Amino acid sequence: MIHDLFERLADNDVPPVPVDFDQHVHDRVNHSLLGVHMMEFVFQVVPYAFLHLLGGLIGLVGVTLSGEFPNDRGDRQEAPP
Amino acid sequence: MDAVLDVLQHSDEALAAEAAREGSDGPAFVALVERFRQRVWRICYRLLGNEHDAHDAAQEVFVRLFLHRARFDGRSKYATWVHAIAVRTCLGIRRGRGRRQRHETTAGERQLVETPAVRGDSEHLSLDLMTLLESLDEVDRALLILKYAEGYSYEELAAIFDLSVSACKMRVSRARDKVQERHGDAMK
Repeated sequence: MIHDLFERLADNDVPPVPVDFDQHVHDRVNHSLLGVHMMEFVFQVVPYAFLHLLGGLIGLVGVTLSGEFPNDRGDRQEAPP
Repeated sequence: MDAVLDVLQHSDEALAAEAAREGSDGPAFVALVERFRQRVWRICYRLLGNEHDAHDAAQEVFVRLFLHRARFDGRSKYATWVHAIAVRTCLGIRRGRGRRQRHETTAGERQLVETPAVRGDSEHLSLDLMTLLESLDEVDRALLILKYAEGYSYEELAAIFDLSVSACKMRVSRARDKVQERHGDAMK
């Protein structure tokens, strides 16, 4: 009896796939892709750009306040007077 | 036309590898959607029980397939991987449904179970079975539906649910026993 019941599960028809299914998938994939790109922009691109610009800004403020350009070579004292 | 034929001649795994290289939903991913549309739809409809939820879930499955397309490592068949994502998505949706809605459904279903002998036709028997299945654990319910409604083999179910074949057989058997027991109680 119960076996028959289980077999009858297969008798319940599944309706056909909606006609506009592919278009909805396409729209949703594009929407998700846009979200992923926005997340990447906010959490990766912006911090990366900010950190790189920050070095320049700090240098600019330093030069403005001290009036001296930084010397990375460290050969200032070796330079002729 | 040549490109279309080329896509059609590729295996699922080859298309998946090609889709992983695509930046958007290109020809390979579109071909995969076309190949698995029907199967994913059937799984979603069977597990969720209505067109609206199935439509939403099936779309979600393909979005997940797209976003995780580079994660397929080829250890299983691509079809198994797709079916597993479909099942997990549907189980997640079912678990996410509100407690209130579940409570209302259960109350309505209890009323149906209490009077099964009154109805004798197959539609009502199927309805009663669906009602009884609702009382099972989500995974057990999905196992029984995919086994009997969709005709999956134990090997396929084991791969989809990440179980051993023997564990899968045991879970199906125990779930059947539970349904049988509850059906017997309802008939008394």
